Amino acid sequence: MTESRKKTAARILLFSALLLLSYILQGLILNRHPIFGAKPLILPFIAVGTAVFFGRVKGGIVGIAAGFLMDIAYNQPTIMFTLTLAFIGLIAGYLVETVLVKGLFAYAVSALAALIICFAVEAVSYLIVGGASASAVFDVGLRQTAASALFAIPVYYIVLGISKLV
Amino acid sequence: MKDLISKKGIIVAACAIVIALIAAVTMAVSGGNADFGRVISEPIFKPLRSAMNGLVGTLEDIYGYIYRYDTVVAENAQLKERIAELERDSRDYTEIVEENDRLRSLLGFAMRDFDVLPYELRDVTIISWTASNFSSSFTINRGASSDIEVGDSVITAEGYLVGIVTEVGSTSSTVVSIIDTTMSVGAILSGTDETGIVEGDFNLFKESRLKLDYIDNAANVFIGDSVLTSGRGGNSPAGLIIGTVESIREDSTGHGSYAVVRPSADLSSVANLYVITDIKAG
Repeated sequence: MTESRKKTAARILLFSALLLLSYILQGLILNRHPIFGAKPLILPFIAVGTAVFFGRVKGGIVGIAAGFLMDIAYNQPTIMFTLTLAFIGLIAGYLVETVLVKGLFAYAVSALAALIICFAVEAVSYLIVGGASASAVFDVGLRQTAASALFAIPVYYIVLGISKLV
Repeated sequence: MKDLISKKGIIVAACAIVIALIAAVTMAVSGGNADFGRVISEPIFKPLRSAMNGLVGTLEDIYGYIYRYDTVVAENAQLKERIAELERDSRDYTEIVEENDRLRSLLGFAMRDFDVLPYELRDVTIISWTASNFSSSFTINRGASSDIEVGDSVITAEGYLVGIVTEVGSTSSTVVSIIDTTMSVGAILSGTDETGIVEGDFNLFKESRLKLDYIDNAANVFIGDSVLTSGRGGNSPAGLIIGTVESIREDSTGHGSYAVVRPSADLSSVANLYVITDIKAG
């Protein structure tokens, strides 16, 4: 096996393990033990981190996998977040390749945008069709974002570590 | 813009769209059965969910034993008292049933069997709750292979309504809980027989409360009234306990009012449940 194929295989293995661990943490542990009264999102950060360090294509691919796992964790058909995180990965990767400098700032901006987009994708139906009050929806969104932000930096350094390792 | 639309980027975006389309089509044609994503992931994720559920449950028990020992001891004493109370009620019930049978026999009436439930039940356990902050649903460990169908009601051992089955896989199913905003069930108030609809409401979601709306005469609704399923407009049989009226509020238009219902089932601690798979005639 050539060196580049070994590296690719190692990356696939490491990202698969990272995605599985994130799914377990987000979907099977923290769903029972909310932080700040909300269940945090971790899987979007994997897609964003991959996009920042490995480019838009790999960001999109990991985004598909992360979104698929997130739809499974949400007990819903594999549509909403499979699409959302795939496009977040593609767009975050494009921004890092063209506008932003690869690094913590680019990751932070992309991660915050990812959290806002994930919130908006879920919240829009409750606001427009569900008749929910804006204050109730934004209260949930704020707590969700605050709880999720705790995991942004650890994921950044894990993905940075993978990028340096392989 | 041209850089954004690279060939590989288009392929990745197309793959995501194809996966979503396949899921949407399978969901639309399956009539409530799991979409293709659930079908292919179920054999891998169901054992993982069950294992993690067991592990987290064990760790919670250990934590409870170490840090909440006094609370557990007090709760144990309360439960023992309750068991003694229920045993007394059970003895009274047995005497009343025997007397009823004697009287029915004297009058030449047919015997009734009070121990026969009016529905078929299937015991299930929760293997995971949703990770969403906007909805309330959970996965149970049985599916189509155990005769579970979309629309089946899920209850506790006490007969409290917990949710409705909305998606069925071969060995697991998704249940939407009663506080979810998509939930809606016909209801009746015990005592006054006032009818209405109990539904999940996002503004009450955080408090884990329900909304009793479409009441004909709000003057007939009182705090403390028990709310039961009416058996109309759905698969839920009549008589399942939903909750208790906690307060009456004016709606946002100011022209009507609705009742806030506290669910009888404690969703934070339910684990072993029953699915009503069939309602017996008569």
